[in-house]
Amino acid sequence: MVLLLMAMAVSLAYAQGIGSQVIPKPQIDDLALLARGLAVDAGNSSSFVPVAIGAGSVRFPTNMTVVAGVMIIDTRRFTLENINITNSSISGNIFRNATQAGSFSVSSVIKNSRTAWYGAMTLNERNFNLYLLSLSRPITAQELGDKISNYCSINPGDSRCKAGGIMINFCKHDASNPVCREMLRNSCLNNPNDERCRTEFNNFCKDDPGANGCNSFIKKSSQKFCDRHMNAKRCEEINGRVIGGQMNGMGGMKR
Amino acid sequence: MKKEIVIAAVLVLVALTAGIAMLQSSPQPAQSASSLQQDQAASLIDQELQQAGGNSTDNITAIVQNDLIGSA
Repeated sequence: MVLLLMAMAVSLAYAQGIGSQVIPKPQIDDLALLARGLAVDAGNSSSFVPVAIGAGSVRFPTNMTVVAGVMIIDTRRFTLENINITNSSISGNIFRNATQAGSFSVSSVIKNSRTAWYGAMTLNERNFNLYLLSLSRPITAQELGDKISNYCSINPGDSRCKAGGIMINFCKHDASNPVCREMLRNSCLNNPNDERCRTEFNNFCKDDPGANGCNSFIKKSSQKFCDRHMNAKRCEEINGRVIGGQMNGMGGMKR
Repeated sequence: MKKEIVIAAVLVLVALTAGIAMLQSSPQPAQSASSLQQDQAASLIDQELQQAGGNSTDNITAIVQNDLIGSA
């Protein structure tokens, strides 16, 4: 009987322990777009409204990923659905109270160390041109550790990844360490669709546009714009750097 | 006989507890997003936008009105 009571006590304590586990919260996986700017009426340049957009993927504890977004037009909040994200462009439908109100499509180009977005929006059957600037979103130490963890799972051959979780823990505690920042940028080159990566590269490349990885990242982030406007001065600069290597005063990839 | 009943009861209890633990710790199969999860994800993105200063569209209005229209 004593044995039975002891077993019940242990079982109850164990079951209570399970019940009191901290439930993990959903986390940002990728912040594809965080920007604000103006929507200008396509037929009347004096008619415009301020716009802010956020879009990205969120990972739930069940490992399910949901792509979601919001758009604030003037002071009205809309949600975004059917969001399509590529290297340098994002499109989606705009909803208000579960009713579709319009759609949008924007592409990015990096100019003067800022990511600019341009495109079109239809809202309540009115056509607008969109001009936005990305908002700065520095990566947190925890997120840096997660990015490096992900990078190391894809690149197990990288010598910096061979120390197991040591580097990841180190970077979570010393996020400003140059080796950690370099690993972050390596990770970002594989997935440039993240405002945290854009902020990292834009800050890193601001004073030294020829630094390792800068041109490659800028090229990926301006891909759609340069596909359409190959002769644009900005695209000639970007492509010239890649094709011709280091150019006078512009800087190429340092290898 | 009494001892056997006690042992059987203990075994049943342990098996039940282990079963509950396994059910709670096993990963859920992939499923499509519910509208609740879609709302949660949108709220998280909204928070990010606000923290980054994206909700301060009033500033843009003020800049446009004061600096552009005001000086015109």
